[in-house]
Amino acid sequence: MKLSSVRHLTGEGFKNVWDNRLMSLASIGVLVSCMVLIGAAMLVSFNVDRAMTAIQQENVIMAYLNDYNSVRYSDKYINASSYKSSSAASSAASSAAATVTASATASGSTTSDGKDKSDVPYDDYLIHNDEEAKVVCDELKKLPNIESVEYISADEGIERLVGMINEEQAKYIAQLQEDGDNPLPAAAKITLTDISKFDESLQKIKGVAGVYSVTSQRDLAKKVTTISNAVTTASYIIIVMLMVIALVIVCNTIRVTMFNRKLEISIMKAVGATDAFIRLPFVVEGIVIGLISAIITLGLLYVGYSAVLRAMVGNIQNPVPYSDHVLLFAGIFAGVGVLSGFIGSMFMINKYLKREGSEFSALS
Amino acid sequence: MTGQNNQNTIIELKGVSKTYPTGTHALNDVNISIKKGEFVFVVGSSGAGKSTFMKLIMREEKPSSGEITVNGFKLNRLKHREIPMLRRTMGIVFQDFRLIPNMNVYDNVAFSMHVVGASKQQIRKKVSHVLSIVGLSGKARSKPAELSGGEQQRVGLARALVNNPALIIADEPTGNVDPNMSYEIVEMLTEINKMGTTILMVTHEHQLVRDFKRRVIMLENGRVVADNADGGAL
Repeated sequence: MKLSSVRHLTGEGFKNVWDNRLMSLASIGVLVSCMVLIGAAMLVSFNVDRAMTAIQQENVIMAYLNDYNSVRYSDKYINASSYKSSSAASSAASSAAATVTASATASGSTTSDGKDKSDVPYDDYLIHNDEEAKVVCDELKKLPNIESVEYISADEGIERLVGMINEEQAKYIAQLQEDGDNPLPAAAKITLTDISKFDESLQKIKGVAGVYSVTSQRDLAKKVTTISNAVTTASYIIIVMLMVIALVIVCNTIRVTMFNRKLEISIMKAVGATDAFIRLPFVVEGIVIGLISAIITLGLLYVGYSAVLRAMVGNIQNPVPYSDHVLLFAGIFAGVGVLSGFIGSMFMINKYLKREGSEFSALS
Repeated sequence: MTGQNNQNTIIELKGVSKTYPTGTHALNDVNISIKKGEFVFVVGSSGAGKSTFMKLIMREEKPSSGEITVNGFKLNRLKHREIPMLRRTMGIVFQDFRLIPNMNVYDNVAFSMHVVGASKQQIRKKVSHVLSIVGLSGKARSKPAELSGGEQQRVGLARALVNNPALIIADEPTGNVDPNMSYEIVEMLTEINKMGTTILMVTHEHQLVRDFKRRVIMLENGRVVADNADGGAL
């Protein structure tokens, strides 16, 4: 095909978009909706990935200790009638304090017959005071791949907890402190040297006497990643469905153009236009619709993402900047737009061109 | 092009039959040979097979049996992508004019040249020339709706002529114009024929055929029932 023909037909394609502006607008609307969803799903996924990677890179393990104070608290308020072993009691205490740290300050009183006021055998506790807790911490320090071990007492833990909770909850904690109670166990904040040996080190820490349970952000990351993967899969299914709808809409727009230009097509065929010549304006129309949709989506997503980040300032740490992925988005949107326009137009026009005998009967 | 037939023959049908999937036998063992430079009328009542005959020549339809050669193209062996090349050797005039309403006369004629990839300069030169042949130089900027039926058909004629075809196929070109204008259209076709272009015209108007005394092929029930050199069949 000659360059002058290509120029002429490309112009015709642009003209088609304008001549069928209502249908073009409908196609652009649907394509933009699909692509905004694609972009939003990708941005969410990028941010989740980034946050999860950051969490997984954290080489910190919290080890909660099997201490007297928290077991006593658990016994008093949670398991008073069914105390069986120190580890069972400690379990409840540890879970109550899963996100905070605690101390091993042995503030509770004991009786002379080897049991405390709650009838818990004194010997069941491995840790009764800071000194004993620090001994466990020293044991932890001796393990391989340990960079540092920071001892966090229950008092310290409760101070940190108060800083993280609301006023009402703080009052409750204050009441507990007045009564001399502290639900938090003593804890050791362990920093590892080599993150690649994380799982191995975790098992070794669990094996140290006096350590009741261990937690790390990695468990949280795994859970969040599982949920996020499920959400991403679901959103991709929805996107594929929307893309099919978009394709149908683009096909319909092209069909309207074809109907409007039926006369021209029949004349073109009669005077010897090649299929490529007849096809080109429709393909250009489809591509133009796709490109316009891509540009609008790129802008809308920028505005939307900026607004979300402004609204959630403080809640999202270190969000993925839009500019980091603008080229990727431009490529994807242009690709999706151009491809759906191209496929839609090719499908429709080829269907028509394959039909023989339309030259004389095109208008009947 | 798939091969040259007889140098002087532009259209040749040998034992051509056409049966549509519905079972209608449109043409039955038709043998026709038209030489270059001839002016041929094809007549026949409705359902005689005239339209099928035209569609076969344009390769809009394929014959069920028999062989067709047009302008050297053996249509039985013609591939889909070769059809445009065949059609560029012919000009078509439609009964309903088929002018694009939002294009002026000039653009309607130029449209055919765009299709074959002519340059703007070639288009300007050739369109002006054919418009002068059909006597519409002064109406180049008019829209089809502003023209009479006869004038519209002359635009159609100019469009068929603009790519210098060896053959013009006119499908009832006088069907939508008044009787006086009908004669004018056929006279114009006669003038074009004098320049060497073969004319194949389908018509219902027997008087017109009688008056112009050209070769007449008469179809009836899908068969050639008469083929006279001077309109004698009518």
